[in-house]
Amino acid sequence: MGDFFRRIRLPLAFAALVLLTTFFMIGDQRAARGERVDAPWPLSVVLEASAPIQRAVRWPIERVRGGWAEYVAIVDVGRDNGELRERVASLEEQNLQLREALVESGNLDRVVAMRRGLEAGLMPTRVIGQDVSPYFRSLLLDRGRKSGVLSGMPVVSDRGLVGLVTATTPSASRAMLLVDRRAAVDAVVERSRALGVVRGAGTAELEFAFLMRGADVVPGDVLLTSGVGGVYPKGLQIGTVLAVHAEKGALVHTASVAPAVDFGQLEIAYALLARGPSMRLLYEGDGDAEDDAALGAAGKP
Amino acid sequence: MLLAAGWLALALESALLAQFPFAVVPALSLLFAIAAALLLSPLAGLLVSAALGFGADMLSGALLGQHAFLRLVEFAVVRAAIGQFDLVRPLPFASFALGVALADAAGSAALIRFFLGAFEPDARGLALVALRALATAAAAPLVLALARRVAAWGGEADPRREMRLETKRPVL
Repeated sequence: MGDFFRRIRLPLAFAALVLLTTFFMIGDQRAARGERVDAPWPLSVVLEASAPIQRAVRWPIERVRGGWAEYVAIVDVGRDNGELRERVASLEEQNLQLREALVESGNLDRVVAMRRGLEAGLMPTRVIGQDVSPYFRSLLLDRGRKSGVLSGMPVVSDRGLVGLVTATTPSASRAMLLVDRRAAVDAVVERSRALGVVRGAGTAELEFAFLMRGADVVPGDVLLTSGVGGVYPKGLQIGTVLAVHAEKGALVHTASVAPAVDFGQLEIAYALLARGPSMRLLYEGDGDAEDDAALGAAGKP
Repeated sequence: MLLAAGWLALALESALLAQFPFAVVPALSLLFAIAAALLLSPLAGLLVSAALGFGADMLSGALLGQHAFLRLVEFAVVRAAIGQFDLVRPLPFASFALGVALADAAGSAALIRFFLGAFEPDARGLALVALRALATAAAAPLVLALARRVAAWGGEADPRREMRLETKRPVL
């Protein structure tokens, strides 16, 4: 009997593991449809343990790159200084005119309040790793729950929207990029206010699907988050329309979009320390005590 | 020990991907999984392969269990290949790793299509996958040598795997 079990333990273990992985895939697929895509805690151990290694790998590479870049940059520094001084003077003048225009329109207080609201909730994080799969696009960040970064929080950079935090550990997190094939964000055309949905395709470009026929969308238009959907705050830059693909008779037109953020060059990103209303319902509505405690520790904006 | 080394390789792979182009970074975790299937006892190899796959799932936005499932299939392929090919020498092992890396990419695509719906890889994506498979094949002998040392150091190597029988008969 014992010999029999010894002989079948390998096929048995193989079958059990295949079933387990299939079960996980089906579960994760359902979770993704419900938009909650966090991972179970035992696997988070891998993410947590790999963060220090990734930081250690990143450090020498950055130093060598930084040193070389500084050496090359110093050659043109004199000429650049002159140009930058002129540009600063011009921008200061422009800034003054815009302030005056805002004060005149009575919007300055609201703009300042919105800006403060965003700045208070920004947590800078370093990109320490990339997705190991060729078909998915996500980043590993060096801040986690201890810093107030939780699943469902948007990630931005100085250029615009980066993506959404999908898994966290105490000191690391994983963010799904906007270009991932599972990412989608409600968008508005800055110029014409045409509404639509921007989707990732797993490639370098995004796809903008706008619902209304005859909507005013042309190449060069800038897309912003519309705030609809309750995941991302309103007004974050998504990208620029490259080309419009309007099929004759089709109700939904699409456009290809160049993301505002260069994801390949991204070194520092900022987690917005506030979930949108939909994400709050999803993650905090079920009494996620650990998340709530982390939010409290980080100072919820 | 081999599992720890494999997870270390996985973290290294992810960190290198953040610094260098995708096509030039070898799939180190895949190579460690192949090495585990080759060098360890069958049950230990199976468990290490699955654990490395789950680790890869955590460092990826892929479906949870996707890499683990593929590592299990690859484990079965490696076990079947052991009896057919000489995977000890560098060139045959590199060729075998090239095939597994390409099959891994195809398997990933198939799983995405099955679980997440429409998936049409573009020419640029396919070229990147092919180039990465070449980089993986180039690194394969080195990783196997490293894994063999780690397994020997940890006393994990299955002695039966290294045994080679002389089957040629003298010509009469």
